[in-house]
Order: sequence, then C-alpha cells, then structure tokens
Amino acid sequence: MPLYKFLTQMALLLLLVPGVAFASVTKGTIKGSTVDSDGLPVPGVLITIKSENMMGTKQAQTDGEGRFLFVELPPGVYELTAEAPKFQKLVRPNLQVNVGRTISLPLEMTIDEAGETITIVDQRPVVDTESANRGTVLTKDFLDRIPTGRSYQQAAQLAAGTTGGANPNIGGAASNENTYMLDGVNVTDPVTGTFSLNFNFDAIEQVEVLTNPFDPEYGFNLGGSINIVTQTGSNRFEVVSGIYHQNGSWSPKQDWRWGADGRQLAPTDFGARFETWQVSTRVSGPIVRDKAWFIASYQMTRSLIANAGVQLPRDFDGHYVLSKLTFQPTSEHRITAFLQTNPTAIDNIYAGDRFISPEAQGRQAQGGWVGSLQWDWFISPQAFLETKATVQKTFIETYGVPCTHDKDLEYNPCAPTEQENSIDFVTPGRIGIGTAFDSGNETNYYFDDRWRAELQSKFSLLQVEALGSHDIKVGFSGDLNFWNQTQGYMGNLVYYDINLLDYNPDTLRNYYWIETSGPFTFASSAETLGAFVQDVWKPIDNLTFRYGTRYDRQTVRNDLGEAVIDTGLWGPRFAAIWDPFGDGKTKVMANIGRFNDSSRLGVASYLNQAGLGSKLFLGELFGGFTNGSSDNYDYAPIQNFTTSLPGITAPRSDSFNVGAEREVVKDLAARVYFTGTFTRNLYSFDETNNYWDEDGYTQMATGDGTVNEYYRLRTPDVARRQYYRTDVSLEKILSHRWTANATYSYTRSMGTVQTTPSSFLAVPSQQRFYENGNLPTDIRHDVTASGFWELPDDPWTTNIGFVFALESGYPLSRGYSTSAPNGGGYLRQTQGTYARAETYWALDLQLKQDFPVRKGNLAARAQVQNVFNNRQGFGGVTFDNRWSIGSRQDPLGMLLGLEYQY
Amino acid sequence: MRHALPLLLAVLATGCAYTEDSLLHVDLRGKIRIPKDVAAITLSDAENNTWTVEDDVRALGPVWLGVFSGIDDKLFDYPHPEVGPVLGTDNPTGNTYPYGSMSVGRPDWGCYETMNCRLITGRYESYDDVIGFFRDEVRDPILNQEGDEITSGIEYREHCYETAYLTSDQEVGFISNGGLDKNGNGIPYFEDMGDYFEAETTIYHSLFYEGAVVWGWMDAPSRTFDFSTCDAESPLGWQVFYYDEQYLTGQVPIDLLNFPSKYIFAGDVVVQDPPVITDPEKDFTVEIDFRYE
Repeated sequence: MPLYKFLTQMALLLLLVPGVAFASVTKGTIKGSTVDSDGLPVPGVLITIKSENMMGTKQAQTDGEGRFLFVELPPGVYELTAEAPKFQKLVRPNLQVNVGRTISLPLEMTIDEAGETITIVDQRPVVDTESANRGTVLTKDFLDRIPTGRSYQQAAQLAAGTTGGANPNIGGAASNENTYMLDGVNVTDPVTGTFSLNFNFDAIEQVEVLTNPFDPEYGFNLGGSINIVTQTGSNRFEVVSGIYHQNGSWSPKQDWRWGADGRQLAPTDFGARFETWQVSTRVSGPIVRDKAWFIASYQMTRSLIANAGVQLPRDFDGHYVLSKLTFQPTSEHRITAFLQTNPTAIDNIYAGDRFISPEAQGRQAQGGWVGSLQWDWFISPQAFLETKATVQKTFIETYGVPCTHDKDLEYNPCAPTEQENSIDFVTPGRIGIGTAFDSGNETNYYFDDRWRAELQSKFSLLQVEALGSHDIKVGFSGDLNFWNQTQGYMGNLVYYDINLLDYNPDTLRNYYWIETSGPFTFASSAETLGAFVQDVWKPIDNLTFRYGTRYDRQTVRNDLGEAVIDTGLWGPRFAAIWDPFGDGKTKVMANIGRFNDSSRLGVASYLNQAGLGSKLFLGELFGGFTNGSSDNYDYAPIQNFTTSLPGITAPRSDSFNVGAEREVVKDLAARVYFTGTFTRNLYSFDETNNYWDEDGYTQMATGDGTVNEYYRLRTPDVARRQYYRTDVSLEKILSHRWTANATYSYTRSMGTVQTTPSSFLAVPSQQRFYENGNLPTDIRHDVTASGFWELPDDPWTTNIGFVFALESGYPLSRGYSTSAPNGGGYLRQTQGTYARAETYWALDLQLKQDFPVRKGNLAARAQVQNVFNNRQGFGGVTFDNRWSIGSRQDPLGMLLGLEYQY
Repeated sequence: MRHALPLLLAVLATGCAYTEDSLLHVDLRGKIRIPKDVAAITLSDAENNTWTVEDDVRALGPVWLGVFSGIDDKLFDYPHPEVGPVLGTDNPTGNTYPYGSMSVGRPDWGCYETMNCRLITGRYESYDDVIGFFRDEVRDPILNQEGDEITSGIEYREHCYETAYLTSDQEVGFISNGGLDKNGNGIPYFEDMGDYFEAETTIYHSLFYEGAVVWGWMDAPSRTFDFSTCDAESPLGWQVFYYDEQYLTGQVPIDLLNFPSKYIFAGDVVVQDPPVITDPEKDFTVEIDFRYE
C-alpha cells in the first residue's frame, strides 16, 4: 500500500473512530512466502486456509514477492493449500494457530509433472520468528490432556516466571499487578487488581500467559497478562457434558503438628472435610452454517469444606454461565457478542473457626456479569478495524442470615415463617474472646458493587511498503470504573463475650460492647483514557522490528471526588527479532519497554474519608466503669490519618529481554532468555509522625506530640524492585503422539517494596523503608514441566499427562521487635536471609481414557495431584525470631471425572 | 521509514527518565563532634571509690539528635529547643515538636538482665571487648545467672545465642563484628580525631524548613555506668523468656525529643551552638560540648 494512502486512511480513522483500544490480541496470524525450486518468488499463487474454528475459508494470492498474509484468525488448527498453474498443489495441514502468534511458512512450489498434490504433514514451525512477546500459550487440547485441576489460574502457573497461587506473581511483579482478559476484554478487578471472575473451564479455547515486555496494544501493568480466549463453536453441533468429583478423604495424611519446643508447626488435616462436585455442559454449533455460530456453557461447582473440629462445612455454590454468538453476515464483517455470569453463594463462611457457634450464620454472595459486543471489519486485505464495547459488574456481599437455604445440610434450616435469603440487620452479633463461642448472628454486613464500562477500538494497516514492509496498528480506549460500598454492624451494635469457664457457653459473660454510628457508604471512581500506536517493520525478510508506544491518562477519585491519583503515562516499547539463517528455525531477540501502573481503586480506598464512628461500653467485669462513663473512648466518625502526596509519580518499570531459540532437532526447540526488570516509584505509604533512632529500633519522638500514625500515599523513588531471570527451556511440539516442555528459571530479585497495596491486600510492613531498609535478596530456582503422551490402543485412546513444578523457598528475614505505641515496627536495616521457606515440589498426573461409543465419545478422567504427597511447609519467623509453619503444601488429591461428547 | 524514525526517536526519548515525587522530607547528612574533655566520665563503686575513664570511645553514651525550629536559651540552664504551647499538666514546659530524629548509638540489650541499659551500640569491637571494659574500666564484671563472672567471649556469645535464638554475630547489636559500622552504610562510628571524637550521621526523612537547627545531647553514663534515657523496666522492650529467666530488656522512652528536659540530667553533654540548616544538600557539623552541671 502506498504511503500517501496509508496516511489518508490513518487521518480518516483518527477522525471517525470513537474512543477505544485497550485491545488484546485474541487471534493469530499465518503468513509466508512461495518460492520455486531455484528460490525465486512465485507470485499469483492461490493460498487457501480453512479451520473448524473459522467460518468459511479465506483465500489470498501471493504478491509480486511471493508473499501472503492472513490476520485475525481465530485460534485453532488450520489447513493451508497453495495452488498455481504449472505447479504441484501443496497442502499443509495441522497448523496450530495460537493467540498472538505468527506462523511463518516458507513454501517451496514444485513443477507439476503429473498433476500431483503434495501433502506435507510433518513440518510444523516450532519457532515464531516475528514475535517479541515472552510467554506461553496453552491450547484447549493441551489443557484437556494435562492435570490442571480444571482451573485456568492453576494452568497459568505453567508459564516460566510465574509463581504463587491463584493470583500469581508474574515476572517479579506483585500478585495484584497483572491484567486478566477474557476475549480481549479487561476483566481485572478494578479494586484489587486481581482476577474478578471464576470461569467455565470447558469453554476455554486458549489461555495465553504473557510475561512482559510486550507490544503496546496489551496495555499497561507491571506484571503479566493472562489472556483467556473462549471457544466460538463451529459448523458441527456439539454437546459436551462432564461430572467431576474430588474428595479429601481419599487422600492419605501425613503431618507434623508440634515442634520440639512445643510450637505448633502446622494446622492438622486430620478430621478436615473437603468435597467438591463439578457438573458442566457445553453446547455449541451452527445457527446458519458459516454465518452464525453459538456456544453456551454452564458449570456448577459445589464445595463443602470444613477444618478439623468444625461440624458444619463451608458451603460454596457457584454457577458459571457463558453464552456467545458469532455472526459473520459477509466475509468483511464479523460481530461477536458474549455474556458471562457467575453467581455464587457461600454459606457458613466462618467454618474455619471452631469457636463459631452453629447459629452464627454468615453468608457471602459474590459474582457478577460481563457483557461485550465486538465488531470486526475486514476493510480490505490490508486494513482491519476492531471495535468493542464492554460492561462488567462484580459484587461481593457478606451478611448474617437468620437461617440457611441449604436444606440438605440439615442445620439451622429456615422455619416456615422465615424467608430464605433474608438478611438480619437487627440482631447484634456476639464475638467470643479467647475460648468463648461466637454466638448469635453475624456481626456486620458489607455490600460491594464494582462497575466497569469500556469502549475500545483499534485499526490495523498491513503490508505498508516503505523501506520494507510495515504492519501498523493504532488504538484508543476509554475505561470507567466505579466502586460503591456500604458497611455497617447488625443493629449498630456488637457484643464481646468472655467465658468464665473454658468451653462452656453457659458461663458467657458480657465483657464489653461497641455501639457504632450506623452504616457508612462511599463511592469512588476511576477514569482512564488511553491510546497506542505500534509498527511491525520488516526491512528485510529475516529481520523484524516491533516498536511503538502507548499513553494512558488515569484519574482515581476518593469518596469526596478528589483526584487522589492523577497520572499521565507513556509506555514506549521496542524489539528486534532476527532470524540469522533465514530458515524459520532460529530466532535471536532483544526487546525493551516501559510499563506503568495505573493504580486501582483499592489504593484510593485508603484515602476515602467516610468511616464508622464507634463508642465503647464496658461490661460488668470492669466493675467501676459504667455504661456511658466519661472514661469511654468515643469518636465519630473515625478520623482518617492517611493522605495522598499531591502530584505523585505513577509506578513504572523498565524491562528488557535478550535471548535466542532454535529448532535443534525436528519438532524440538531449545530456548535461552535473560530478563531484567527495574521497577521504581511503587505505591507506598510513608509514616510522617513517628521519629526513630539510627536502626529504626526505638521510637524517640513524634512530630505532633501524639501517638497517632500519619500515613501518606507516595510513590517514592526508593520504593523499588529489581528482578533478573534466566530461563532455559526445551519444547517438543506435538508429534509422534507426544508433546512436552520443560523450563528451568534462575531468578534474583531485590528491592524495598514487595507488594502493591490494595484494599484487600494488607499494606506490607516492608514498605516502610525508612524503618526497615532493603528486603532480603530473593534467589530462586524454579522448574516447570508438562506434557502428555497419547497411547495407541485403537479403537480406544489413552492419554497420560503430567505437570511437574519445583520452587525453591523464598527468603525470610528475622523480625526485631521495636517500640511503637501502636504496634511493633521493624529494624531499619534488616539482617539478610535468616530462614528460607522449604522447597516445594509436586508431580501431578492425569489418565484420560476415551471410549468411542455410538454417536459420540465417552471419556473417563482421573487426576492425581501431588502424587508423592509432599507436605512442605510455608511459614515465617515469629515475633520472637523462631521459625513457625503456618500452612503446608496441599496433600495428595484425586479428581475423578466422566465426560460425554456428542 | 520517514514515519518510523521520528516515532522511534520519540519512543526512546520518553523512555529515559524517572522522576521523584516532590517532598518536604530530606535526608540530612553531617558530623558529630564530642570534645574529649567533656566525654570523660567519673565512676564509683559501692565503697564510694571514684575513678575517671578518659579518652575511651566505649565511655560515650547514646547521642540523641533532633531537628527543631530553633533554640531558646532562657528555658533551662542549658540550650533547649523552642517549645510549643503547654497542653495538659504532665509536661509543663511544652512540646518541642521536632521535625526529625537520629541517634548515634542506642542502648542495646546485653543478653543478661544485669546488663540491661548498660551497653550502647557502636562502642565495642567484640564480646571480649565488652567483658574487658566492664572488668577493667567500669570495675563491675559481668556476672551470669549464678553470680559467676563471665570471663570468656565465647561463653558470652553462647548465652546471647541461646536466649535470643540468634544465629550469627550480625544479629548482635552491641558488638561490631570487626568494624565499628553498625549502620552497615560504610560510615564508621566515633573516630578518635585527637582532641575530639567524631562520627558521621544521617538524619533520615526529616521535614525540611529553612532555618531549622540540629540539636541534641549525649546521655552521659551514671557513676554506676547506666543511662537515664533507657528504662530497664519499660514494657515496650522485648520480653525474655529463657528457662526461669523472665524479664524486660529495657527501652528508650518514646518522647525523648518531645520533652528533652525530662531526660537531661547533670553530667549530660548538650549541643550549645546548633548548626542552622539552610541547604539540605550541605553537610552540617554539630558539636556536643556543653556539660550540664
């Protein structure tokens, strides 16, 4: 495309396209070139691609250089055909197109002598010689054949550089610094920065886990990006149903309960209860062949979990529904609409505490919905426009209920006059102190609604000729977030009881009680406007430059509407990828980029001014003091001592990768990469009223003469992290009925601030740099491996899959008690690594047996997680500097499932 | 290429700088000098025999430094920071409302109950150095629980390790592990400069107001070599539970700089001529040279 035409189209686009594009890549690319036996380009070759996951077929003719390009392809397995007069027809089946990846195919056309067709089935690209993104793509087929616990969060752990739990640490970032995307829609929780929805595992087409740096269109965050792409259906009508069960009583137990000094080392598992049932159904197929497809998926999860000594289990009851419609009226236009909802009720939420009386009913309701409408316009083979509108609501509510709706549990059922699911706002809660039972109703109620409205658009202009070839994208986005919250105490009162005799509810005595000023509400909000431009420039065939930048403007407001965070952020990125031999089997790559943290509403929550006033009344055991005494502590509303430093700088990181990969033997790639990430200006609170001695050991004075602590939100330069990682990996793609990959990562990380605060992730004490100094240097060794083997036992099929993970322990410094009226501080200069959490490793296995039956397929599945029943401990250093285990690795667990596919 | 190059340059230009947020808080760096004549101490024993310890850095008490709005010479018999309005009856002299604080040496727990509030960090090279100082200069040898004299640094170390669950000398605050640099910042504690001792210090995260002064005092040891700015019975200190030993490790009051006059007694050495801070980037020198008698 001539340059003037490109500029004209770009100018028109800027005028016409509404705000947009925090767009994710949810599609893949096939490109290539045709040459004859002398290596000369063959123009005019008709290239045809087809896939079960794509409506119709796509065709293109190679240009004067013999090149062809297909973009925005739904992920899946494709077949490519190349046809030209006087040449043999060439067929390349079994091409796996992955999200955000490019398949580059050099096609050698052979002179046709007998009208033959050449089908090349055993040549699959292993190395993507144009991508600079680091990360992993997990396909539906792969996820089906390895043990993942039927959880996309668990599957995401397979990517190198990913550690932690359901909200992982990716690339050395905190667990709330990632972006979660569902079909290109940002579904990251706007308050906590964590995942916001549970999801139907069987509706997943691919999961892409990206560790930065990556292209500007992927938006802004300091961590990684977990990108879920759902299935779209096909021309085949398909029904897949399954039922899965996991039961903790199947697990053998081994435990350590007491240390030599009498310290409890770990909570015991004996007598604990854990049962989970999952039922899922997916229906998909055509409404009109090659014009309109649908998919509907439902998953029910019911879990009963109780700690040892607790009679009544916590009852988790989740229902996840996804419906999606893809409509392609012409080959130029594609419209996709989806709605996902996941209502969940959790009863008896306090089952972890055996001193909660059976009558104390606490319920948590959570879930929400996300709806999205997307329009893809294939303007020409070289121009593509994607526009998307999204609305998401999530909610969390906790409250006391007078009775439970779960009649099958046979406790505290609703009486005929009691309405199920009603909330008791009147009866005050009673909290037991020490060994007293918590009795009566739940103490407080909490209603939390979070809204996100997003509009985004991006425009791609491909194969622009200017000193080589350019693929250019521009995009815009607008994002509004709202957080509304109401909190209060039942009856505006809460009682604290104490037992005069241990474990005897009959001897309860009123100890003290608190009267509150009544419920309070607040509403905070955030606005984000963003834009990006990026170019993929190939000056010559075997060299690719990817560069661009994005700009994001964020304003986060507290409950008074004050802009407590207001930042404008540039995120430039640059990458160079070189295929030194030009054979598509080798890649040498380097990239660098800046990534910014736009904050989250949870940070602003520290700066909300609404609060709960409270007044303390002392009970009969306090003798001289009486109800309403002037000695009572009385303040209402609560004072907020936390402020924001005006004009703070947004947290940012500069990250780079250098590395190389090569297909060392057929279908096997070896990779070596080095990553460095330097993060500065992290969100942090400094305390400004307390003054300390040289070691931060002793408080010597306060600025205002009171013992209050005044925190202030800052992003100081000293709040930083440095992260270095070296990955060595091998990947054998699927061939000869097996696939496997393994990665060893060596990581060093250091800094002053470990995590980023949000409302549900406690402010880390380490961030008080002026009192605590550097964190210990964290050196880790991680090994991740996974794969499966398909056993040839026709007509049946047996799959054996495995996942292996090893994580060396994290370092811990000793805590040194210091003087502080409001609680202990820490020594300013920590003393380095005192203890290290034990190394964790686990092997998970899955056996899946397919039984072809009339009109379908029956499959039985057995997953065994942590086959060797390791119980490594996770713990910390106690206040008196002793090592104590707080929890242990999950024991061996089994999951059994039965599936039917029609 | 014509559109690619400017874009690339823009990308590179925007990717270079970090900025720090604007703050009133600064780290003030400077030196402390204590003339040797005011650093000399007089000790006595139960029979009222007295003797003097001179020219010995181990005899220096903790130095408490603060940044204040100014000095008022008329409040007490020694220079004292200006005070704010009197609120309440507990502190009739008013509050000094400091802007920042630092110490050079702080009282540290000496592993035995009898050593509470008697050891200052940054003064001793080794366990044997502590033992020798108390035996030869203080003339009050360190005793264990049975009343026997501690004569071996190894024994002292073992006792510390057992009672505090230590794993290395790095965790022992009152000895220096071969170099008097307990801050770990490369700055040594007091050096012998001939007529005076000198130490470098940094007052971290202090509020900066032009014209503020750095003022402080050295808590000189009593005649039995303990320190009035350390409360051996303070419940804020660490509590030791070791076999039948149960006691508090002592702690500094939290209002040392808010109400200095509560803690300055005869024999202590006070800053008489405090340096005025006009440029936070410029190092200060503060001399602690006025002995309050």
